[in-house]
Amino acid sequence: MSTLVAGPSCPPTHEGDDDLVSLVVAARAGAASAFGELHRRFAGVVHGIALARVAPGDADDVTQDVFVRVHRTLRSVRDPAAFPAWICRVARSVAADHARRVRRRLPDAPLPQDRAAPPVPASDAELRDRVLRALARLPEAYRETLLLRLAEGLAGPEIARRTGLTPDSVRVNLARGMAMLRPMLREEGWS
Amino acid sequence: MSNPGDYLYDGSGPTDPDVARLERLLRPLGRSGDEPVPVFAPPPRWGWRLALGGFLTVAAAAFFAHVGTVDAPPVVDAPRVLDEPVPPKAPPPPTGPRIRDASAGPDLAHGAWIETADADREILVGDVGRVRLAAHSRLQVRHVADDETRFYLARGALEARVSADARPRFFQIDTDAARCVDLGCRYTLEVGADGAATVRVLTGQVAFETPTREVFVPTGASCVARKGRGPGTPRFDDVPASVAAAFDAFDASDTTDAPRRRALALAALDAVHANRDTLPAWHLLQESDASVVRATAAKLASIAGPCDVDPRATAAELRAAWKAFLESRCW
Repeated sequence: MSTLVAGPSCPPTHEGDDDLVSLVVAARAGAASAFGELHRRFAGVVHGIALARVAPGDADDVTQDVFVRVHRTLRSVRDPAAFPAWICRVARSVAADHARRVRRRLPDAPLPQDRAAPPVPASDAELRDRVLRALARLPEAYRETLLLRLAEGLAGPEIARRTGLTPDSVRVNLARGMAMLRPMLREEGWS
Repeated sequence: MSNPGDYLYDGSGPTDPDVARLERLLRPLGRSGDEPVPVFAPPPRWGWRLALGGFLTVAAAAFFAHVGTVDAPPVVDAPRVLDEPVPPKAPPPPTGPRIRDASAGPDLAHGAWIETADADREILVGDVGRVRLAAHSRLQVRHVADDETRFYLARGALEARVSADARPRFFQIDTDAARCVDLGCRYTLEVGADGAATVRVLTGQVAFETPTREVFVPTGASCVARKGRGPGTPRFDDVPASVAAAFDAFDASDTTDAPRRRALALAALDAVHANRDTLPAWHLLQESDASVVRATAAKLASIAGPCDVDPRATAAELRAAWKAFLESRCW
């Protein structure tokens, strides 16, 4: 009889996450300390995934919503080792729902009349906004990985551990994303 | 020796000034790490999935009008419980959930048959599952243990609901065509007069298994398994007729006629265009024809985007990677 994997495939646990399976099992059984440890380890990656999809001011709310859903549905995780990929899926889904709700509320922004070179940004905040606009034009996988690295401060190996991607894939996403981003930043007045 | 891109990857090696500047600009947007851990009330002990209303699909209800040439059993007020000899190779289970009729009948022993007349009956599987057996159906208790409970549906239809607390693969139903394995769900299963079994998943997901094929049926999808052929290709119930027809033709093809089978597989891939069409397409990754597997992977990528798969991955790893990818994006 063939065997069917009940959840997404997941790479072997990496150094530093040998106890992840037991943590998930304990949290699933209701251990508050285990859930707290999962929150500590994964809140950053959830927040980064949210940043890739919603306004920065909404990322904290989305992160909280994700962990509410995780707490409610953790029992549905059949394979504890697949927890990183699972929580990332939940985060993307919650963030996408939030983004859709916001789009329905906000009127469409007027289209720019021309694409003249923007003036030199007056402040870091303005430059940050331009960077975020450029990031929004990247493919989702590249944008998400770059924000995990640059905004959340996660190194490549940790991004791999927390998302279920292989380290090579993380490196590729970062390199290709950055290669696409550099010319966009020049367009946005990045000197 | 450092490589280009090391600083971007893990902060090692020579500093990349663009990256360093982006870190300085974007780091304030990241999580500070000071936020308290949210505190929740303990979850409920049992997590039943939401009922979607109407325990039988319209298709299943229509099917009952064409249940075939099976002689209608005599009308009785209660289901008959037929005790037949336990198959000699099946050991009596030392433990396992109580199987009993919800109308407070006796516990059902290993090997017992349940046959319904004009009314449905509900069978309780410990406190982790419920089986609603439709009228004019016949079901046997095949195996009962702590880690697995299995029934055999000889004819008719049933709806199964399995608690969120049941362990994976605990609840299984055999038919003459294939074994239906619960992965956490609510579904309907009906067996026609020709022995074909149709599963329609209402919530969660179900796997069909045979020695040579694995089939994955998520929420909103259905699959037909035929005697002697096993499970066909599942598809969402709202796929275009052109996609359904293309995969029906593929499923009906002679498995020994490789060129014909290849042509039908490629024709089915041609019919696939939308995200939800990737469910039947994914199953073509199991074909032994490498050209079909390559074409399938290319088609999936054209619809859903590239999937991160190690070039050295085995066939099983390739399928698992694509399944995880498509589950999060398309299904």
